[in-house]
Amino acid sequence: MSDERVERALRDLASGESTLGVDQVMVRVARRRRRSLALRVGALSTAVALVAGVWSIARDDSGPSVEVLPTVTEFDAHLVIARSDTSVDIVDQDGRFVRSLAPRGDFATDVLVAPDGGVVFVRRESGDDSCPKPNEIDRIDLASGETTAVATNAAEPLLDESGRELVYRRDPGCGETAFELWSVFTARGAVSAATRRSESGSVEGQRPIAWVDGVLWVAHYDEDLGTEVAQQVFTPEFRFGDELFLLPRDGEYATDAFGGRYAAANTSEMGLSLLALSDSFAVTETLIELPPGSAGDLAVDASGDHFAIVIIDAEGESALYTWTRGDTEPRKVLEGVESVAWIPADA
Amino acid sequence: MFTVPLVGAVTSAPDFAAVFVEHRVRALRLARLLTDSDADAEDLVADAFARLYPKWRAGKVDDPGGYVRVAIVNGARSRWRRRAVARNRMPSISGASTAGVSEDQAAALVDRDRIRLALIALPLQMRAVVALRVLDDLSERDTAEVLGVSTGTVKTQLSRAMARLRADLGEDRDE
Repeated sequence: MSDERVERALRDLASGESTLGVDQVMVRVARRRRRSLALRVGALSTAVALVAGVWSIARDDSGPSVEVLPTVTEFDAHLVIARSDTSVDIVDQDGRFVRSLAPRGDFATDVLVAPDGGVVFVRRESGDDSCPKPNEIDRIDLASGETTAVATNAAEPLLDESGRELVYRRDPGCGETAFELWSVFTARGAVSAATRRSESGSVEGQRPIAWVDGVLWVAHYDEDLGTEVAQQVFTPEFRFGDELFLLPRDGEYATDAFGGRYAAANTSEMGLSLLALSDSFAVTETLIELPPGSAGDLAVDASGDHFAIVIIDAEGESALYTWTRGDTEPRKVLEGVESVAWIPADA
Repeated sequence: MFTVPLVGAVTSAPDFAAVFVEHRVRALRLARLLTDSDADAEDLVADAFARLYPKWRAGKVDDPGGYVRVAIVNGARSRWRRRAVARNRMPSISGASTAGVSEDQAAALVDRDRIRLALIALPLQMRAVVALRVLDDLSERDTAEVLGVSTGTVKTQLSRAMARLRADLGEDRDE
């Protein structure tokens, strides 16, 4: 027996045809960008009605067996979803269509709902190669359906706690640029001129995750070749290296805020799980393990009890799951969802 | 079924397409030895290039091939841990028919099946040593650097791995 034969067999095994192309790589690049740290401060809202989750026990009269069913809390709430087919709709908590909010158009990457539930913001990403790209954020009045463009060349939008100030990173789509933070004020349908708030170093690896009291919280995303992913959050003035706190290093996140606290759907090599975080982003609790996949988006209602999670599976298909504290497992409610936000119950 | 469109995706710079083409085949060959299927290998390679892209675009990568190689090995490590249980339940892999082929071709097919099964039975690090040293022609030092181990470990693991592969391929055809 010779090493040559082993080596020949190894080379034979390693050879083969493949259709893998650079386009497939670029789709993954886009997904990696979108699913990392997409925090929605604007999802803050008043509590939705809640019926506490309990174990349901169904007794079969024909025999003595007792079946313990998964707990699924019943409550009444609506969500705004951006679908994979690019439409934006309102659905109920079971995924049933309620009404259309915006027709198909460019790819809708982010949906935000103002805390009073009266306004929805939708960020759409243009698929053309123009520069600057007209990546637009639209303001949609929930009652009238009136749609107003409030920002262009915009990415990673966040709302302040009042829902009146929208901040975003300027993204002309012409390669990596400096990190420019812009904002607009919107109220009663009027929109202020866009104002540049600050500028700092490269966009690379920086993710705005919260806009609170005029302070932008930025997560620094540093992929360290594979399994280790470091995410650090820095001071608002972008003093890179001045580390305030550290998210767990082993995953990627979608995050959301509620009542001054945060939650994260954490994609790590151990699987996908839902975490509760303190106001300093320290993990306080693992809430529940989620189905396999990566977190595309996360929305928490203002009570901090109801969670909506977009999970992207291994085939790249995305689906909406919901979970309420007390439930024994998350519930898949809808396929083909890219982004989600709760609508306050009293909106 | 919805297909992920390039709408919303990132348009690749022409230079990156050239980088991809230059390193694609070698990356796939490495990945095939570190995974249990061609589909997994393609997935691993696509992930590795997706990790490379932002760094390469920012001018932070001098050796794209080396970066992809490390990303593939690290990615395989992650999957290896996740799938350890499932792997133990894997059936025979290929089942390739040897009907209608020459004796040499049939022998090569049998070798391919055996080597695949033998590789799967190896610990990942040992498998990576074999892939990097034998297939990628890396030096012991470079292999050690990629894997974060000593050159002594590379020597030992390569020796043990080749011995096991030789044993698994069988002595019959050489005697």
